[in-house]
Amino acid sequence: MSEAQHRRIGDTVLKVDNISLRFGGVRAITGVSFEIRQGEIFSIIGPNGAGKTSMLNVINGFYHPQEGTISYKGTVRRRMRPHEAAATGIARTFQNVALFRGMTTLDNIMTGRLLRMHGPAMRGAKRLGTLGVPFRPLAAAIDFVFDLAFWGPAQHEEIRHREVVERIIDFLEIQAIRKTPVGRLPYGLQKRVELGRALAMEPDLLLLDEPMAGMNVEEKEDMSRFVLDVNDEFGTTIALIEHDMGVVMDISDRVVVLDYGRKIADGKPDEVRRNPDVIKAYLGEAH
Amino acid sequence: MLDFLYNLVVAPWVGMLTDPLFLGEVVIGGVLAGVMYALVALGFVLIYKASGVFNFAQGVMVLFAALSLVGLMEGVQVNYVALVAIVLAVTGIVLWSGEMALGRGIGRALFAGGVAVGAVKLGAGVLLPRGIMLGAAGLIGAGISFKLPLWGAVPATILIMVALAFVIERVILRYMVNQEQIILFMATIGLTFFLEGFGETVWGSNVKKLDIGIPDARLDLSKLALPGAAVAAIFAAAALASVALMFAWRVRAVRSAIDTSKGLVQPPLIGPASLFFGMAGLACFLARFFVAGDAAFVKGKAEATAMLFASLSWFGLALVATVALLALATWRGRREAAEDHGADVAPLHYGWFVALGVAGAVAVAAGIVWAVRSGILINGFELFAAAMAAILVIVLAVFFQKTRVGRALRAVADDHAAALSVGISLRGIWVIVWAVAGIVALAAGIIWGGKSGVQFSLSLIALKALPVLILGGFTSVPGAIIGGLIIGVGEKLAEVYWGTAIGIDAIENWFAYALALVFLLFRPQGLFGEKIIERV
Amino acid sequence: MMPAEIASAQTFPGLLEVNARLRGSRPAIREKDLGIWQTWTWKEVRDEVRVMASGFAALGLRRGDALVIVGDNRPQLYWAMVAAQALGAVPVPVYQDAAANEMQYVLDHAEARFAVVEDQEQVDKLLEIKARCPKLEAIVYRDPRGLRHYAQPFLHSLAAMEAMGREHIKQHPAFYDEEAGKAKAGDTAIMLYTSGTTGQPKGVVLTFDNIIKMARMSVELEGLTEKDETLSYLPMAWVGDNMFSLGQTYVAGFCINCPESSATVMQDLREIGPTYFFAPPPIFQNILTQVLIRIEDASWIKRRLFHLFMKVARRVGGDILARKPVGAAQRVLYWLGELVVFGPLKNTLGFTRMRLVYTAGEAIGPDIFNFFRSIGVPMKQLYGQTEATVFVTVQPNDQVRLDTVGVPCPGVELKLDANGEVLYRSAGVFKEYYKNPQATAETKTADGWVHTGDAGILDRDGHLKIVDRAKDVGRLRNGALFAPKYLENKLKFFPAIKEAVTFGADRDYVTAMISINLDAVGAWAEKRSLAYSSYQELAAKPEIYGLIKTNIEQVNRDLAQDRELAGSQIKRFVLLHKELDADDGELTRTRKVRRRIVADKYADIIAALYGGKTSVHVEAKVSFEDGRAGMLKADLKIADAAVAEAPPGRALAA
Repeated sequence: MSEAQHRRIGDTVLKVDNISLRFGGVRAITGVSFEIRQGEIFSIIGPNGAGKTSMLNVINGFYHPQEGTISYKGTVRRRMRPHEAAATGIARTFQNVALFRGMTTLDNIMTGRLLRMHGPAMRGAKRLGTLGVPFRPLAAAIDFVFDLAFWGPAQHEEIRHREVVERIIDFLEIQAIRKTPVGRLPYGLQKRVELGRALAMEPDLLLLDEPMAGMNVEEKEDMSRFVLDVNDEFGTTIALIEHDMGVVMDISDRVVVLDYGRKIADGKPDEVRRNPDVIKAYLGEAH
Repeated sequence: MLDFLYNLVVAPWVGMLTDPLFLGEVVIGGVLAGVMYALVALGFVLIYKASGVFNFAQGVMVLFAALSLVGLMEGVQVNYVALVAIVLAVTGIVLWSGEMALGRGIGRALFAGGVAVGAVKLGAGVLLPRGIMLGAAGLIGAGISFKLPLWGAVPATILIMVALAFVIERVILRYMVNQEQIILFMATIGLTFFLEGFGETVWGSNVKKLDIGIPDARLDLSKLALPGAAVAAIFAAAALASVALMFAWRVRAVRSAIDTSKGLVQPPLIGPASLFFGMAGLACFLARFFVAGDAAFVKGKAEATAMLFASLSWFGLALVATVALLALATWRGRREAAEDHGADVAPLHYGWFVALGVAGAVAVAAGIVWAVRSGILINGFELFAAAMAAILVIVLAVFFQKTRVGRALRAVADDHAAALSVGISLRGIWVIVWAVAGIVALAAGIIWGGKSGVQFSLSLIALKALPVLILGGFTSVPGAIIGGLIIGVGEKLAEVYWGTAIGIDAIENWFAYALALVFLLFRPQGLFGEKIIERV
Repeated sequence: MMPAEIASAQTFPGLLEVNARLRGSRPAIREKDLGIWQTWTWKEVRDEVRVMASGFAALGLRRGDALVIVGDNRPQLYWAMVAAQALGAVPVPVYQDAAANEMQYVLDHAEARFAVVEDQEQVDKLLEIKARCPKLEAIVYRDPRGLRHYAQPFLHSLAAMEAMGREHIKQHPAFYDEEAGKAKAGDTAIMLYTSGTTGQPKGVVLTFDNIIKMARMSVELEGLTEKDETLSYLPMAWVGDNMFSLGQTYVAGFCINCPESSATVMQDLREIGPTYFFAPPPIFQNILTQVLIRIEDASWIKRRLFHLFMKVARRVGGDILARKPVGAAQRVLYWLGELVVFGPLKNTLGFTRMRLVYTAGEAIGPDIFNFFRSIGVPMKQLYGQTEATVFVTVQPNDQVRLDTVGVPCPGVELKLDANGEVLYRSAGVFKEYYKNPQATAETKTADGWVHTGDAGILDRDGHLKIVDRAKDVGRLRNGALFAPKYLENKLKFFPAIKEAVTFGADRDYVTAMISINLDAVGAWAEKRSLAYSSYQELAAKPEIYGLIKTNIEQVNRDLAQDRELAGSQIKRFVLLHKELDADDGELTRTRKVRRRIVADKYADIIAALYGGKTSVHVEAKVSFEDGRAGMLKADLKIADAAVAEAPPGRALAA
């Protein structure tokens, strides 16, 4: 793949070290370790029930592992909550599409900008860094009043964010459904909107949980193209869970294979495909 | 038997129509009562929408808010030590909920400090023999006393309710995150008892009078009256000016949408509105003119005019109601179609609904003008209450739609997991929602308290709000308002007209619940709520 | 009336200068980008074209070169065409959904040296075929997304080319005016490859005179002014778009609007509210189907109102539009209907401001035609060809009828030859087929008459009626007349049927292959709680067969009324497992059926239809938009349809 040569793959951005996760007596993940490097497309694959989504939930902060650590951007995280993970630059899509059903496509993608939507007071407080921390609640209150009155600065911000969202809509080719409430969209389009919302957060690490599920060949091609373009243009690191082997082999830089909560292989797609343990885990049938 | 049937079915309507002026007063009274119910229900809806909790304590929050307000206005004696304890504890809790670990640590320490100081004071008061206590009175007994005027007390009470929200989140909600609804509900029951007792301890248990400076008396509106001809002339001029606007809009709006690069402009209501504005006004003017002429069967000019205007405004009201029902049916039909077929079913056109509705509204306006001239009886205080509720609703609507926080609230109400992934802190949102519900409770408390004094039966309002929620749907803000209005007006009408006709007393007390029962049987999600379908 | 300056300008660059002078600050073209409409005035367009032409020159475009243009309707692509013309080069627009080897033929045949394309998709296609198009030297692309790492030296972004253009202007300030001044009325303005239903496409050469003279004629005829607005959504490679979005625009000075993407056309239509609109009948059929589906889903009061007022409209709507006398009571009712139903409906569709609506390309169904006219959309038909630079006949506003295509346009001569084939002669007649003198001679006679290849008749009012393709009219084995297009059109008038192909020449009876309309039939199925998960599954259901059978029998009953046509009633039919597709070569890019190809591809089905079988197994190769192939397998049922008896005792004249 010529494009891989153009991508700059850097140092480790996420390190998963000896993670074990249990729910009562059920061991979802046992002793899994791997690394994801900056700027690469990393796939997590494995038969159903292998613990892939649980792994993503651990990275995202929905679950906290009983053992093991996760280091993100060099710092070890302790019991990070999902919204804190989001604030550090991790964006996530869900297997069953967790969109805000009552809102339109545009509004949904706009919610991705919420973390970056600060009023003028808050921006000032943030600029003060740690010194400004105690001022933040006050700043939030001031901004709130600004908001209600929808004065000049708020409107300006609104336009800037709207432009970002429109560019994403253009990128994902979903102009036609801009104003449609997402609850009415077909599944494939919903997944695209969810990707749009994740992109709106301008994440450093993008976690995609089965982004191609339920799509036909053409839709999968489109989605693959989007994933590659995102990685190419913005340098976003992407970790995805996927069942379609064709897609995985095609676009991933590296792959980790889980089975019954354990890692059974790790490496470049071609290596993994030929690994006998992997073949056995999938009952000898490649997709 | 026939008599009874007549009294049940016919007499009330006759009663309504024979004295339209009185009917107007009853309806207005009902509307205003309904507004107050709606305010309380609003608090429930906010909390339920954002955190899925049915807040049994909403009624007591109304009471607590009113108590605090009155207490601050009457004068408060705060012991220094107690003051220090309270400030420490509250600041501690606020910081403890914060985002930064450092802040959390400091908060925890402050809170502990506050509790310790408070414990010392209490302990000293209880344990130390009288002598030492009196001696230490200088230290422990002294305090400050202050009295706040209304405009100071209200913000202070708002701060209290916000602090209360922080405390509730920290102490109760945080630990109930993944529990079942019933457990959360029981927690709010416990909260109810606690707040009741706490309020009583701090502020005392006598009935308090809340004086907000607006007399609970009839308004003298005679000065507002304009001559009827002037009113009609204004209407007609507006109509003529806007007929052109309405038809010119079609081309202009599309043009301007393109050339100024804005989104598509919505048709201004001014157009059809003013058109019918004028038509109705013109009709009134002509009718007056006609009636003022010689007509033998009419008893007297003034009386005839009065009857005419009265009939017009009731006709208008009926028209508005019909249009509202039609619009509702259309909207619902469209919604269901969209759910079933996933097609983007756009409404054919709401323009004519709006036009007809406004025609009716204008006829109502004409009626109001006449009513004012005839000296209808409106209670000033109730008018203030309605105005405040309206403003509150508008502010809330703007809040939800336009602000960042409002967006985040809508997101949380929709899907928790998604909201978390987008970076919204659930617990922060809960604090905000409970704080807003607290402010709404304050508004309700001011109105109820102002009307009937601040007493502990105020917390029973929660029960009255339940039928409102059943009617309007647990998750709908407009539902709470419309439900409240329906129940308020329905109650009063039933009491006055059916009560006197059939001779049953106190229909007012149970009408709301009967109506709620009917709804539970046939439309449990209320008028605007969401149908919840569970997989069996 | 046209200003004298416009009347004297003979070429597009010339017209551009005039427009920039006369109405420099009026909007010329708009595009919706990132959700808002961006406007360019005539002056701005002239400046952009100037820069582009200089950029092309800097890249080495020479007089007489062919410049291929591929993409959706975008302002920059339109400007590229005029910029090329200013340099004396010939723009050759190509259908954007053409597969790589279709493009390769055109590029090769036209000997194109340069190409201007829209985005990465088109760039990839060209890169694929570049090896087989040795003359291709440079590719310019408009949208840089995805192309960052393409390192080929012959790839240039439009932005880069425009920078070069500005440099060029600095160094040769008089260059553009000089070159543009060299353009003459008789020079080649554009070359359009017709999507022939048989064989390889032919390059139709049109001169400035062709386009501009016909544009002037039509602008005067229809009274188009600079205040009009139109939506440019039809393919740029089609002659109609060149006439509407280039020819007429430059002559009349009105504004064209480019939609955001092909998926948003209906929404953009609604936002713009154009005054002038063209669509082929399938689009109107689609719109009508959508409207009817929506009505079925609306609340009962809306349904009642709609049907109530539509009855009124069907009675008098068409007459009111045609300004015929109508009773006062009916007028009031219609006015009420306008207020409550038609007005809002047209508003939703974007039809409110339309005062000129053309349709052409094939026969239009009576339901569709009458529906739109009855609600006040002034639709009328025209007939034309690429070789005629669009206009041959047009219906005058007061003589709009369902079954004709109108009277010859001013300046167009029309005649029918002995076989009933239609011939015409006009100022718009094409110069020649590029590098194909044989085909040119076959189509154009020595004195300038063009064979259309369509068979037609002239009725007593002088209106032309098109019956069928001249070479498709055939006979059954028993001598009965068989006009396949006529039958297929009748079938396609039913909303459930999307495409139909009939067979019968030299056979004992007529059979039909039908592909259903997924939207309409899907809605029908849902109403009856029939579950389906794919087109194939839906088309195999016995209930659907029943539905189509009813439609076919209706057609048979109509045919039975006419002695000439009674013999061509449809006896058997099959529902195809997929829609006929241009990508599979079954349809042309303008969605006309390629009979021979279809007959070859589905020979198995045809054999089964005539072999009395009740089902047939099919394995079809399908190709995706990027040219890859796949296999589709199905077992298709074949059903019979009842043939109607001619009404007894009716002796009909031919």
